[in-house]
Amino acid sequence: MGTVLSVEQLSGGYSPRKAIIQNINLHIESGEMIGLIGVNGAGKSTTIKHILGLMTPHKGTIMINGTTLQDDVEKYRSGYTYVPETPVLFEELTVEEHLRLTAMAYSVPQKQYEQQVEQLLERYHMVKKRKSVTAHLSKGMKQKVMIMSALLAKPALFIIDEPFLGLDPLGIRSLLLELVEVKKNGSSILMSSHILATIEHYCDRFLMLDGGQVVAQGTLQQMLDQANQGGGQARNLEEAFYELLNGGEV
Amino acid sequence: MSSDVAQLWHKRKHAFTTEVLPYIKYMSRSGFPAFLSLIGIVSIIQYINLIQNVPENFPLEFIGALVLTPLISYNPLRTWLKEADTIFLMPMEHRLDTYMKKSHIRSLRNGFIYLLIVTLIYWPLYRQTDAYQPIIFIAVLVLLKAVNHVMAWKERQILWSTNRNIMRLFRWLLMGMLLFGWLLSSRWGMLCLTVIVLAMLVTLYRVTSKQHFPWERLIAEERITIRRLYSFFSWFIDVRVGPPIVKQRKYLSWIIPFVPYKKQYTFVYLHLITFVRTEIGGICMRLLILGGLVNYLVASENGMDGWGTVISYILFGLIITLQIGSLRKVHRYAIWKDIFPMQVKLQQQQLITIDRILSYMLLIVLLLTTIPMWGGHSTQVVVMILFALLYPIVRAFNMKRKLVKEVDDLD
Repeated sequence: MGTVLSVEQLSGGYSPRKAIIQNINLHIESGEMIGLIGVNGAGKSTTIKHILGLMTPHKGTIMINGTTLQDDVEKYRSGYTYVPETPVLFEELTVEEHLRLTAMAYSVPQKQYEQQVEQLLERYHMVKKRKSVTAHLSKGMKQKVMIMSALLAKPALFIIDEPFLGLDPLGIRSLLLELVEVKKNGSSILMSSHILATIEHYCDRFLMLDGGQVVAQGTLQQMLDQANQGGGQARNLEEAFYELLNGGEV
Repeated sequence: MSSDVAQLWHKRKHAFTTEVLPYIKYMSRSGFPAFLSLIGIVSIIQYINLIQNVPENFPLEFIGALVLTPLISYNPLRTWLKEADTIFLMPMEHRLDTYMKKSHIRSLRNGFIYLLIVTLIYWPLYRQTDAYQPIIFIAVLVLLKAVNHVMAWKERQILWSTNRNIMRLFRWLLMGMLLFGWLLSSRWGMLCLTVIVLAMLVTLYRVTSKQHFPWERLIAEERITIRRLYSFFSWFIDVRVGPPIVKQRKYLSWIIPFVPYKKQYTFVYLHLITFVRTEIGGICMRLLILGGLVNYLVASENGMDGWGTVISYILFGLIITLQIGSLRKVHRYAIWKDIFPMQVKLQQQQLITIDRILSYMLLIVLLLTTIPMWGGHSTQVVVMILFALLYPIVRAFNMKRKLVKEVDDLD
């Protein structure tokens, strides 16, 4: 197993004077799914933005497939795809055109794209909407387009921010099954989510942030152990989360 | 209570004026008014020349119908209404009579002023038609304008947009035909025909399914008007940009699949679709039709020994390609520009490529409309061909410079 994402001593924020996240360390191996958890404002989105290269770190290094953004922009960026919390689409494109655009940007071979696009449209129940302009789609459908685009690119790392927002139960199930498949194929996933009860069953490890710092990390068992160190009774991720955050109080 | 509503109308109108005033100042400093004045002066000279020597068989009536129909049929309505949940808006409908009255009066007043100006410009040509009956003609124009204003309101009340568009097209066609008829003959027959057509339209508008107060339509109309205004201002200065208005435009969409499936064409593909489906393509198409028509007429008349066509071609060429330039700004802040695995330089090259391709395509189509003067005017034709070939290259240099500056500014 190779390291897909390596974040070392990452500190950063919007203002150079004030760091929102401090000393974040994170390593993701290929085929791993990591859950990034924390309350609103804990620093999850800021961490993701730094990994995406949308923000410049105050200090620390971020490597994807052994490359930093500064070393090689194209190689770094072709190592991941991103599904944002709120779907951000080119609204004038149809569903199919959006998928084609993404495939072109990630240099997906044309034959592979043509095969995959049919499968994805079928799986996400979007065949009838393939010619629809994305501006006219519901939020859930837009999210599906985002997910399909990410899956088409087949990178080493999927960065997914709150993927279940706006999806119907069928969409959530399709996505989870898809992510399991993605893992099997050797890709890694960094997923930020508040739906702890769901991700508990799918993620291999978790990274919990609070106030811009890592407060706990590891497998579910390791999270429970850390939460129960002070005599807590946490039995699942949600309880461990409350225990680590407020000493068990909701 | 009605004075509150009237105050609200004035307040909103004032707020809008205050908001757009700075942009108008920027526009006036840009040299655009001087450019418009130049076009105006050239047009006046050409027009006086035409009035003094109207050629035999000149389509006086057709031209009259062409310029007056839009002024009669197009009835924009500024209401300053804002987006809100219609659940909250609907109970307010009964209080809006005074508010809407002001919008209708403003729309009618402006409409009549524009109609008066264009009618006065057209008057010297109208005098030369066989149907010259000034009082009757003015009465017909006033009647048609007023009836069209009412019908345009009725159209807004139609629930389904397809029905609304069909009705509008039907109304415009009928008005064009009526005006053409009145310019050919102002006899009793035309009066009877006008009464029949108007009665038919009134009946038709009565039976279509309607909503009492078309909130959504009016709000959408406001949104479109503001967006158009701001996309106009964006030629001169950076302005707030909302999401683009998206239309399928199937008559243009067929060119999209021609973009090769290659990474180096990703942003060419994106911007071509943006051109086809957003207002940028719509404006370019309208200008192309208008420019083509003007070119064709000027070329047919062989004005200024063919140089009139050259001026008209270059002017419309500049105006149309200026629109294409807005493509650069549409996705300037799109997150995917910083996510897709592509160097900024490659993205910029693709923007320049699409600008060049579109400029060539539109300039060549526009050039074809000047064909009537090609025989015996080789110098003029060469000038136009050189413009079509070289101007997109000049644009590419300018664009490259602007894109580099934009990246530097962002850094």
